[in-house]
Amino acid sequence: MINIIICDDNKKDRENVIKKVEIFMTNRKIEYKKYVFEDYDKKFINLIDTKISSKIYLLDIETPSASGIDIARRIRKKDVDSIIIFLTGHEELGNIVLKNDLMFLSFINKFDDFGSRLNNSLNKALDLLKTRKILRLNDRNITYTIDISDILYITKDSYERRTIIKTDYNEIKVNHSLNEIIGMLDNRFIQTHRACYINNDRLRKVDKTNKIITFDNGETIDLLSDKYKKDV
Amino acid sequence: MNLIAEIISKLLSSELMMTITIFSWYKLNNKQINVKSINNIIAIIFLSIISIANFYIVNNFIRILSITIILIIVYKFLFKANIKESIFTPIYTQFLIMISETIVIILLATILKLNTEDLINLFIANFLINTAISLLFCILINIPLIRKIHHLILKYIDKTNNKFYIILLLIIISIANIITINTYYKIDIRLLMIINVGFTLFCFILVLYSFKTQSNYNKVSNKYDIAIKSLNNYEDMMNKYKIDNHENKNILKAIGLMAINNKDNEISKYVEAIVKEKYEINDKLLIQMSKIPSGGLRASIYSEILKIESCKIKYELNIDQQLKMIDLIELDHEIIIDICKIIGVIIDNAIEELNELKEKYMNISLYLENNFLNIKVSNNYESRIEIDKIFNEGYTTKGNSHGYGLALVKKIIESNSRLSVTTELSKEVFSQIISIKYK
Repeated sequence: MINIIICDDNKKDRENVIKKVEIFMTNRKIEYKKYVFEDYDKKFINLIDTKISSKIYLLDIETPSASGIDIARRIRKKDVDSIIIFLTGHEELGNIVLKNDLMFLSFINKFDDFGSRLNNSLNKALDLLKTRKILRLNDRNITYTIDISDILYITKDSYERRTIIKTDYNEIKVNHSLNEIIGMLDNRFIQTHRACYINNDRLRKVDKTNKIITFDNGETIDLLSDKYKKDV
Repeated sequence: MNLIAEIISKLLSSELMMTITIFSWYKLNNKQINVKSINNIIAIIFLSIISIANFYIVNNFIRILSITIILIIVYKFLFKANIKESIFTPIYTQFLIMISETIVIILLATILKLNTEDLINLFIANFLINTAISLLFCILINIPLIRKIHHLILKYIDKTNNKFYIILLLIIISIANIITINTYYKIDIRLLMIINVGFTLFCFILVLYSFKTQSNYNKVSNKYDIAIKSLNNYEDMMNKYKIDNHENKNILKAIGLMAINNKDNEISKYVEAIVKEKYEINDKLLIQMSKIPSGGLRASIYSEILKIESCKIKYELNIDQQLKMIDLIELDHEIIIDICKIIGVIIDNAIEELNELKEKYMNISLYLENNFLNIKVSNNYESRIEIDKIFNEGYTTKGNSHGYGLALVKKIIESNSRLSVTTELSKEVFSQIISIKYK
């Protein structure tokens, strides 16, 4: 079930959002529950702390007691998988940095083509809830936020005794064990070697004769052992 | 008979040495010595008698120290100099006499193959050795470099504090005293060991003291570095206001021209557009800034914002409304300086990174969390960051003369338990969070 959490201090705007969400969800025939708030009050904060899955937050940027940005930060401290959509009149919030930092899906201008933009965002949100998973791990004062779909493979650096997470854009070396990290991931990761797990979704080709694995970005590795060859 | 000969020899030697010492003081002061001056005559006679009395009465271990103190008093009396100069010049001349003595003894022992121990006990030879020492000392004091060194040291000493200077000179005299005794007399090995331990301890304290002085110096120096930086920031702000003023003048001129042939409410439309475009942006920033606790932090962030604006970087400033409720007054002045330094380094690094990029975005957020004030600076990035090395001295993605800022940040946070810096890295965004424990 999808949990939709709406917060807007303006009654008219709030009712407009509720109405549009109800129409959208009914049309998509998706079971959902809505939580409506006028302000970022204690009940709202409690809901952030409650462990329920598949949350979509529709947040007003400015309310009398707090800023939606601060609330988004608070949400992200608790979970990285829920979807945040900002309802705002502030155009400048399209800033890519803020978007990545708080990992929000979109900001929707309440006064500009609101209905269709909300529908688009909710569509995108539902797709993401099906597939998106974030790996967030802390290693010696550094917090890494990695979209799991960006990970190509995870391997062990026996020389430095650290685990390497290879993504499209970086190679991250952490002091966690390989098993610890695999424990945080889902079943799209398969073992190809005693010290290597690959992201099956990113796999393009496996050359079992020459023991070479090719990923969808063209990168190759040779960490394929006889023991695990048949499972790939 | 022997005693009389010894006393006469000592008297002549000390008369010679004291005359030459007083002569050297005049020379070091670039003054002509007046041999007929009653003060000089009294000083020479007084010092000669005192030095003989010192030789016979005072213990070996403090003999040089006691005669040095007498010399200091006489110098003060003769030259009416300040205490630092009065201490230093007699010690400097004593040191030169020691060098002369060493050279003469080495020459006699190595070139002429004479037994110096026997010579010292021969009164005539003793007097002749002292004459040779005095001559060599005269030559040394006439070397311009020797006088220049004296002048330079005196200038340097003038800037140090008295306590440090006195301790240092007392140690030098004591060491000279012990070394001299060890040269001429046999000292019990146990006593020598105790003295050595004492000197080592002295030197240790001296080193600690100099570390403390250096650290105080660094603190003060840092404070003034920040002051200079702030002045530069004020100059930037002045420049901004100068540009704003110029723009305002142009706007008023345009309105004036429009007033001459006012059609279709042109003026009111123009004024409305300017207010929207210009003043709303400035007001928003100033209202945001007013939420930051005062005490240095607000100005520091404001000046960084001006820098970001001047580099044409798109930025967001998010300040938690709760920030108004805290004040940083309880924090030491030093911590505030450290926080400003860290913010400076982190934002400057972000600006430098963004200057290389086509798309430039920065986000600065200030928010409270469990008694911590967090300042988060995020920017997009493209260069490959070896994140576990960023705090290493010299690590940079930008080439030479970079890579020391974050090493400085690391040093600051290691020495201050109320501050910490954490790093966040995601696909496109690099963030650094400065956390300040304010309670």
